[in-house]
Amino acid sequence: MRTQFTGIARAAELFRPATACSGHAASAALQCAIRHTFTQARCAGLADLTKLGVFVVASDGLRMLKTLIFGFLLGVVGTVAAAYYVPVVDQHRESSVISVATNGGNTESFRINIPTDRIMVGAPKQAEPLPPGLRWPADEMFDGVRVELFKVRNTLDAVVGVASRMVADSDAIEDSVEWVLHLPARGTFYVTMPVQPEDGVRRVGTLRAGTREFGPMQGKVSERWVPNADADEVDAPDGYIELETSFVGAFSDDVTETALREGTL
Amino acid sequence: MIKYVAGLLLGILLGALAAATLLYFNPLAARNPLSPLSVSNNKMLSLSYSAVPTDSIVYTNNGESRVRPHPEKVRELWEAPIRHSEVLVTVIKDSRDDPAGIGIKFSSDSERTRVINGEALVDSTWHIHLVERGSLFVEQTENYWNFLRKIVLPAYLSAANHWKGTWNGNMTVGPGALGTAAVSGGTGEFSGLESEAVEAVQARAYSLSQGPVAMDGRLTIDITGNVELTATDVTGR
Repeated sequence: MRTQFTGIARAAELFRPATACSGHAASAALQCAIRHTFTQARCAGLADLTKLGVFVVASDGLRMLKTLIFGFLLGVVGTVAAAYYVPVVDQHRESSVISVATNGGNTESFRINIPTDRIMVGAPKQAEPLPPGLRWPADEMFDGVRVELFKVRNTLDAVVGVASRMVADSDAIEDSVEWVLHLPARGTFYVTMPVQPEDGVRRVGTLRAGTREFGPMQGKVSERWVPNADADEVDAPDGYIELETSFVGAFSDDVTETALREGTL
Repeated sequence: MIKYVAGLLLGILLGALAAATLLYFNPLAARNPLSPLSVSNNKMLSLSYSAVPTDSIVYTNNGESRVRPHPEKVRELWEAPIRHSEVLVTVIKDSRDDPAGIGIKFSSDSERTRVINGEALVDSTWHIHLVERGSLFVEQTENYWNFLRKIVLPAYLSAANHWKGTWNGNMTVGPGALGTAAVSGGTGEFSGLESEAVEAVQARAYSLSQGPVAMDGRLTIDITGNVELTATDVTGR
């Protein structure tokens, strides 16, 4: 008999209190018949025959609705939680190879294999530009500027960042060698050093600025060229540029005051 | 039982879609505030560059991005620690659009990126040498959220996989408290300079296959102290 329900009647049954058509009283059947424009007998019969069925249908639909709402809320909360907690970016980290310096601070060594780690040499009038196809600006003003880009390795020979080296030869300003080392997982630091090596081998420069891990640091960075001693090695690099940092945390009044307050000094 | 599981999955899907829509249209995250430097009375140095990779001297990334490295045979940054990074070497121009120096921009996706806050952060630094004047180092955090919403996504939704229009946006959101970049002078007349900067871009065309097709960047640097402005610098009010 349930098949005798029209779609509208089914929907009406779902969203109406169950007692409306399921009462035993004749008055209830009459009200039902008026509402649905059925005959009183048919309505009463339906009410009798589908009393349990209507309840089941209503209960089933309600449970489904609850499931849907629960799923919806779960979806909203899950998405928001994922957007908050799941990192969108996860930079790969190589272990830092750092030594403690004798008089405080720490030292770290980076190396650049030449020519394998060289990405670019920007200089005027190159016979074989690197990379092939590079077009250095033709303007004469750039004749005194040389820009190089490298991949940077730690002492375990793993690539950990990229670096730029800029040499400016100018009458207007003091000539200098500048390095920027960009280590994505740690930060970036900027070093300027004089063109003339300190001991004929090693240029020593000053840390000018740093970001993130290198932000509170101050110290020195040295640069030297180390030729490859093993001439028999096949495909061996010509040598490497060694960059050695010697950094110490900058003195901070805030840190000192906190330490004094906590009695750790 | 199966219909309940299906209902639950449908609910989760609808909920996730609703949350994603809310995050996308979040009005609090769609701000593009006025640069604090634009209301400053200090003297400003204005430098511009083309943000189109093929206009650059060298542009390289991990080689898997839709923006292809330039020139074609440049070494790619495919190693794990640098694969979320890119490097741009370009000619820097002054406010008269004349070449003024060389700029190297290092950019890495930031681990502080939080989609829920409307942040697609990039940690970037500029190493700039202005010929006959000196060098600068600019450290900044950029937010590409509005760029992605206003340009990249419309390009995705476009039948031609292309976006065209005019979009101006300030990219710099830190590390300064007012959303400014930190500037450190290195050599020449900028030696000892400690100041602030803001980077803005003007995009006019973007293609899904090539990335930016017509886009310029502008660095506005607050010059304080002993730096003298030349005729080609832009002065503040």
